[in-house]
Amino acid sequence: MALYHCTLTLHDNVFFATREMGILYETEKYLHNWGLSFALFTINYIPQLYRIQGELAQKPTYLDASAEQNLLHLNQAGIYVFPAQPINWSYQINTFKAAQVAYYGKSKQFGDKGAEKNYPINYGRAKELAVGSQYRTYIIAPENIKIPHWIRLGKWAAKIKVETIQIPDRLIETKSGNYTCSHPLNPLDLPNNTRLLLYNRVVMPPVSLVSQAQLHGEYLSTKKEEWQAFKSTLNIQQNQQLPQEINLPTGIFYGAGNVVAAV
Amino acid sequence: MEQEMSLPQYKSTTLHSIIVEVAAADVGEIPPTLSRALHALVLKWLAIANPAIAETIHASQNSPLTISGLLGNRRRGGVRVGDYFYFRIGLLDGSLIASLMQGFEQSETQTLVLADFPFVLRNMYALPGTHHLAGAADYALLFNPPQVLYELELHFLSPTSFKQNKSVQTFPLPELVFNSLHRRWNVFAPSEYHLPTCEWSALVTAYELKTYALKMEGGTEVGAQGWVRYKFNESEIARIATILANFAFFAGVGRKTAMGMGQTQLIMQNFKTQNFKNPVTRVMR
Repeated sequence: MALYHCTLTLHDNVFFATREMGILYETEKYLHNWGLSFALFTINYIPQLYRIQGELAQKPTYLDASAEQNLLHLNQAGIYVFPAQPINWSYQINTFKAAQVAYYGKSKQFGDKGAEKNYPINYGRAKELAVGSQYRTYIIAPENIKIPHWIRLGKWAAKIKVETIQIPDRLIETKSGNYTCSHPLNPLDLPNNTRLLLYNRVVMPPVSLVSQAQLHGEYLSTKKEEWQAFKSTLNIQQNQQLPQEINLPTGIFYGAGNVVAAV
Repeated sequence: MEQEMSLPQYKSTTLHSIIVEVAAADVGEIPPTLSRALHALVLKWLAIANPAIAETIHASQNSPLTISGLLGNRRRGGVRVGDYFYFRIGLLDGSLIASLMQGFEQSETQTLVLADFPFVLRNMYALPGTHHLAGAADYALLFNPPQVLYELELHFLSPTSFKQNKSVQTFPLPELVFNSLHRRWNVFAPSEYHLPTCEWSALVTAYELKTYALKMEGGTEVGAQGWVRYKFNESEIARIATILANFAFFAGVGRKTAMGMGQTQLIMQNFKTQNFKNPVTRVMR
């Protein structure tokens, strides 16, 4: 198993309807690890369905073992993608217009209850993460894995550049006890022997993330001097991408806190 | 007098200041104060995790909660969709944090309606340093302040008033401020940190205060907002006052601290904080 540090650079606006507030659809600044996992490993590890019909067509299948397309395939392959932390980010708000079609929903016509304008309200505003925003994430995966250099993410299938640095094993040690993880985490993926003590909660579907968490349990930590020495061997750009230290929980996998989802 | 109920089985030695960030999901005017709505919301979160805790707090005369009003920038023409607001929850008993977070998590996907106005939940900040009003402390730490302050500057960030001789006193006299804090400290701090009774021989050396009205459901509550500087001459009194002044950030001061009143912060020299912008109406000079 190896730990990879990934820098994600947005080459398109990324949009998720994280929060729907009237006609405003806002994208949270964190990128969810489940969405990222599908973006990174669909086809090679997670089956890409050509067509789905019936009940499954409208049902998310993140940890549903009975569905063909789920994240449990990555558990079997020993792959785990952490949520992505924004390093520098900005937003762009775009106004869009919805077509007047019968199945879209009833527009508020002039004279309707709640209608303030004399024309149908059929537009919305999408608050999107703007081009150039940069993110950091980590992937735990086998040594020989191929991490794609470009992925597509979000409702607009936005193009994102992925730059990967493999962190050598000798720089990492396993520790136990209380620690602070500055990287966002998905609480459903934390193993049962890791306890969340105090954290900030980022409300977002499908599962809210925790950030700046204080935890108790086993964790991977970079050895201070070796880590700095390793960073000094990299070029300036790579050096700046890497953080001062890394603390990440061990034993993390999709649905780890959920017995049904365990491998 | 009503029998005081306590939460002995849950007692913890930590204190927390938690920020909950919400966004407006509609356009329009938000009522000037949402004190009751926010109080009910926090109790609802606690009740989801543990109904007994919520019931005990509701019946208690010494609430372990302080809740600010809804803070944030209110536009003149009314709120727009997506506008950010936040409020602060002070917990004087750290064991409540698990229930509060559990209740928050279980209701975070539901629509949040405060006084008939819809909001969506955005974030909860519990870690000190991640929001300028988020914080955590321990009674043992507060009991041993690194420096005893003989001169203290308290900022009353929301209207603050006190009960004095069955009337309401709006001026934060030293004995009213520190007795209020002292009483709450001795209720919630572990017994080994209880503070002795004090004669507050303090002077008010400077102040800048205005009275503001907080429009509550039961009527208008008037309180003072601004800053006051207190001076203490005796070292032991100054030490206790320093402890209580730090405690004030979590506990609030005076009346109705769970309804948005009495939000207080100790200001250290050469340190300025961002002022609360409260939806209050000035009524007197």
